[in-house]
Amino acid sequence: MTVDEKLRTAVAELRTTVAGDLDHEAGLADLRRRRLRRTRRTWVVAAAGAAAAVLVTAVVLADPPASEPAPVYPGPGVEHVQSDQRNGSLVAGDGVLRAADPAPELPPSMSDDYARRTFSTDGRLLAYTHGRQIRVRDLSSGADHPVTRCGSNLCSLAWSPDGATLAVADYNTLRAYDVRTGKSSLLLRDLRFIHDLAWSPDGHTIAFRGTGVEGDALRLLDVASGTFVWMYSAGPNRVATGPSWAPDGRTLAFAEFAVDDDRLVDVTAMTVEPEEYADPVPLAPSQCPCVAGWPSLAWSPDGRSVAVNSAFGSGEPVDSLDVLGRQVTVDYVGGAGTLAWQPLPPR
Amino acid sequence: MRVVPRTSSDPAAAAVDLAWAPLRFEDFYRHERPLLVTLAATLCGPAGADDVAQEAMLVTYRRWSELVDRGHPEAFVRRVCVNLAISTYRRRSREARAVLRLAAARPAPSEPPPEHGGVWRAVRELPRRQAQVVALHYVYDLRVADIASTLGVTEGTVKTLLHRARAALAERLDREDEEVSS
Repeated sequence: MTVDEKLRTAVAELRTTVAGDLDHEAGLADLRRRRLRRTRRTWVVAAAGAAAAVLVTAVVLADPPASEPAPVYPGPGVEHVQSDQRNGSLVAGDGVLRAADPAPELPPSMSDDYARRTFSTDGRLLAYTHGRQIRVRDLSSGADHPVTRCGSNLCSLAWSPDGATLAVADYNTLRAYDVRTGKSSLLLRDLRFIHDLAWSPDGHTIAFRGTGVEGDALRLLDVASGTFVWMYSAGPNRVATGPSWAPDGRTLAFAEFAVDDDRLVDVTAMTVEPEEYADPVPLAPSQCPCVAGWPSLAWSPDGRSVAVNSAFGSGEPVDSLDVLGRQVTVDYVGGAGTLAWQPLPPR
Repeated sequence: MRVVPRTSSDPAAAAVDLAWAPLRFEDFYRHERPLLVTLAATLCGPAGADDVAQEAMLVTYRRWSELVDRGHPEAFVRRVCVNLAISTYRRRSREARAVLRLAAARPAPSEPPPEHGGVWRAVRELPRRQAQVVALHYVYDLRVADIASTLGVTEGTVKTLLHRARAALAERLDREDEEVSS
């Protein structure tokens, strides 16, 4: 090993050892206490010297208490579709795009290109970002509670198939949160940037876009072992992102994004067999509307459609593409923010 | 507060913007702290690395509004951290040697256990500036220009320090590898 390689390996090991499970909230509380103590000492000295009254400066840096957001219902102009008892509503970060019957009572959307919403596999729970907060709403009862805070405004979310755990990517950290207890465990922190999560239906892997020393790549993380089982780089000036699993877990679709042009260039898919990953295949490049802005994909719960949007634009639907041996509609829709397709819960 | 105009909708580009124009100290703290602790650990060992990083954050916190106006608060906290870490390590080493002189039978205060074949022990025994440059380069993957602005030295100085540090480490680590294999 060269000295360069030794040092890089040593850094990776050290990072896991010393920075694996830091309690940021406790650290912040410690800083506030110590800063307040010093502020108090300074004022006491000044007051004693001048024989004046003691002034105490309280520095409050807590966030405003989270109020329960009011629900938002689909408004006019939203396409209403018949429920087929497999697919629910199609939503984006900025609202409902297609409202099934019954439509979910969603929290208000925020004007944010990177607003995240994702439904649990049974369609009952919605995890979403609200500013810097990450919250979960029970769509049947309306109960809504915070899970954690996002250090940036770029957090990505993904439900485990059993709906008990929420994977959260916050800049360069991937953690799994028990949504009932709020307890978390660290899944990954070896990359510079982690984004766009998708938990496989079998629960074994999480697909995401990750930037590391090897560059930008779409990756599959084995949750149990914490190792990468597959990586795909889209090539020069391109980013593979926005992964979405088919409901049967056998196909992974994702978007390819041209960095220089700031636009979606293709929807790509690959089959996943146990321990075998076929080469990804671009779908219908000649039919891509190539809209501008950061893309997002959502595979329909019935497995028949893939909805695609970009942050700033909309396009025409493409009918009946053959997504690796099955007839799937690749449907370019409007809306900003990540797409999420709600499975209808059993009545 | 400076706002960075976004030229691409790529979230990774927005993430880079965040790195030098954070909105609040709390966001900066959560984002910066893990690597800051790692940085401290390279220079003063894992034991106490969190304390050193926390001290550096406290200094930064007290001057937050001024640092945000100037820009690049992350460079400031990293500089404070590398200086504190080196001082902490050297003070502990002096204390350890003093204890040994006073009571040869007593064990020295716990030196951080050797990790990864003594790579970091070798780094800590480099001259101060060489150790700091190595730590910043490998923990943050910083370019020469960024290391120079963090430490307040010229790029030429950083290149020289990095070159000398690598040569010294290569010699020392190769020697240790030979001793182990023999």
